[in-house]
Amino acid sequence: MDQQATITGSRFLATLMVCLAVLFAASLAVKRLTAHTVSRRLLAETQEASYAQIIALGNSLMRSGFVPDAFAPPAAPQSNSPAFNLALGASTPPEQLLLLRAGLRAMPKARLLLYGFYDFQLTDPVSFASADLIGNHDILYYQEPEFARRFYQMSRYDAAAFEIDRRLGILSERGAVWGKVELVRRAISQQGMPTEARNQFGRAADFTLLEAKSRDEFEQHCAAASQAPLNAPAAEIISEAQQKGIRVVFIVMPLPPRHVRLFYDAPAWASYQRHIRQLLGASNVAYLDASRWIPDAAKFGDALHLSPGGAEEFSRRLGQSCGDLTRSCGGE
Amino acid sequence: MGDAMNLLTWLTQFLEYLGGSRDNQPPGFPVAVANPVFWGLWWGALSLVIYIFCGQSSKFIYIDF
Repeated sequence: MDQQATITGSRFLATLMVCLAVLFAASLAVKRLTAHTVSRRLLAETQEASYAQIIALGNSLMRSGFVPDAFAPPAAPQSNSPAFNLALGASTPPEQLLLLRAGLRAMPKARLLLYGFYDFQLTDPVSFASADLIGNHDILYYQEPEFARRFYQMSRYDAAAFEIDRRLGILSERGAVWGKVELVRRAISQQGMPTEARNQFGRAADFTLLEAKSRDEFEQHCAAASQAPLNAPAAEIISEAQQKGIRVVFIVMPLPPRHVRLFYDAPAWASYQRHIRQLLGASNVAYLDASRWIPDAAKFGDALHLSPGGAEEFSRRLGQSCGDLTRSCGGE
Repeated sequence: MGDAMNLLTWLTQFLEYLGGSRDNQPPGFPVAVANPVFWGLWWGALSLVIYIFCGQSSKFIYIDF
């Protein structure tokens, strides 16, 4: 008990300062170790792509589904394809808007924007909780964060947490650290178990979680979304591209036959698509429905994403549909 | 055998003291309780362990880091 009596306020404060110094050092270390996250690598590649004339934008469906060399083969063996894949897995329209803005700054020759989407990505309002901003959402913390905040909603509490998080590497890049721990956890849980199917984005089975739970739920969503305007980041993507004189084509990405049968064959989806076409038509944006282009389930790696073979086929066909930049692209 | 048991007892007391479930440090504890550097490093390390492992409830559908 005598030793307890030696703890004074100043010693406690000194202890606290040392503890904070440890956390500050850890924050610097995390920032350094996460200097090459997926979104940062993509932005760095964008800086080197001044040759690009065609930009492919979207989420993981476009990231895994668009092969620039298959879409538009390079003119010479050592040169680049004029197309550049600027899509980012696990991204939503606000992150895609930030990528497009970075792309437009780096690619002065861009003349065509191919934007891939599925389900209700164009009309659902975008809102985040602080806990959602992990993984590739990290771009929202560091790439024009004040600008991007205009395009998604947060509660007051989450907005305050966002402002703190984005200033501290240990918080803004927590997802990268947790992701590594999760991979270790999964590797341990796999010991002695049958191997799980995986692809470049994670466990294949996880992606069924991104689909609607039932056709009824999907149809109700269609009915509500058929009254909605384009969400703010999607409208801004169109506006910023057109301000640069870039032709914009929105593409319903190829989806597995099961998804098409279960959801896209519903009359409510056809009605929603008419609504989307009207909205896009009013903005002078071409619309291309490629959702049924790949009818072979074997050419998909999971419930949503094309396999490498399926991606080649889709990209080749998209390239044929688009022809060269001087021809009308897309529209059915 | 006796030495081993004493060591285990001391180790238990050492860990209990570090964990906060014991008020008095075991005999021969190498750091004085008044040393703020040691305790600052200790609590910093514990905070980092919590930080590293507290993301378990996050939805990790995509792990393409």
